[in-house]
Amino acid sequence: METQYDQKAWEQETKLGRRLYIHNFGMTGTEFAGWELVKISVASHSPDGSEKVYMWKRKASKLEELVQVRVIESSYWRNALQYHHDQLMHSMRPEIPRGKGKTAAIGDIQHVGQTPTNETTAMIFTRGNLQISVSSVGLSPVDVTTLAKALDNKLTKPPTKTDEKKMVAKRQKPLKVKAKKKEMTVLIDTLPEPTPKSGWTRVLATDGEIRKEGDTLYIVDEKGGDRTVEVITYKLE
Amino acid sequence: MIERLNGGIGFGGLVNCTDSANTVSTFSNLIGCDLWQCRMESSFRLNPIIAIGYDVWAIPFDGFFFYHEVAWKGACNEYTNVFDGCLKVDGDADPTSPPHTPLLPVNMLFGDCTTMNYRLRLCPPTADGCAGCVPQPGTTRQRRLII
Repeated sequence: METQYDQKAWEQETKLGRRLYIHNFGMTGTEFAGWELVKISVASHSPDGSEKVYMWKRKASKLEELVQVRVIESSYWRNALQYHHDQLMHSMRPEIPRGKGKTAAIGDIQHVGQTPTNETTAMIFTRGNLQISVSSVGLSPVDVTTLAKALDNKLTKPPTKTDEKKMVAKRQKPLKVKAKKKEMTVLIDTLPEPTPKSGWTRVLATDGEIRKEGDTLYIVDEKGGDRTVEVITYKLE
Repeated sequence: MIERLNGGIGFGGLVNCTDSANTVSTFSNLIGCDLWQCRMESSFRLNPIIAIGYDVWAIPFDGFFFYHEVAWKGACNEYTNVFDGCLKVDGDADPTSPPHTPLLPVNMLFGDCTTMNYRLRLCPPTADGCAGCVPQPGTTRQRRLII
């Protein structure tokens, strides 16, 4: 089936996502102010990665205001774009639009579902090797823009001083590697086992592409040379 | 899905046609039926329908489905029957215009674009309607779990 979704164009657009890698991402219930995390499910697991579903309920709401956050963690940013494409192929609505205005700034690539009154009740986006869906799924519709932005910020912005002080986030010693030109260079020989105890890790390079094969994280750099890569770990327990 | 049916949160209250097809075929097959899930594609114009969870006639998504998926018998083509748990079609002689008579498509022949069956009840008899609504057994006929 031919589609109007141009995955090749998305690849060209993806800049930050190429050099960002998230390992063992999880939500702990503190990500959305005013919301309660009521359920976590692992929906599927493939050799390429995992899919986790988080159900959030707005606190002190008499109406059923529920938001579903679905996170697919893959080994490579290009795979995340493929999952994004697959999500669009499973929508009955034709021609789902790209984000505009506030929603355009969320994710590497994003598509939105809006009501006739322009509430964004569903949003799917990629960020690095993650493909994420944030959807209003309760009886009372919710505009999910703020929640999607908060999640994207968690993945891309430096940790807050409060998080560092509370030991929720910890800056690790930056990785210094000599990247080989156009070849895969090892960044992390063995990634931590993906358990809650390990926490989740954000790896951010200034250039190049990051990808995982097996348990090893690699950087591929067009030009090669000395590279410093930031690593931050976040607690999950 | 089962948690939701028992009054829990599940994954929320929204379902699409794929969820419905999975539910109909999986629960039916549990009690001895022999159904598949299969898609019809793509980007085809619709007649007025009553969508699951609603009780009004409307044409959703600016008039078109990108795809639709149902529980289906056998080869999942125009000669076999469908079970659509996602919507009701108009069961009278002219589904394109009011008044409409709600009909849940149960064991209904998918059909072609010349005789009134499921296909012509779902889509108008136009090039961008019925003619664009084509079964896809080659790529999409399967049995998928529900969660």
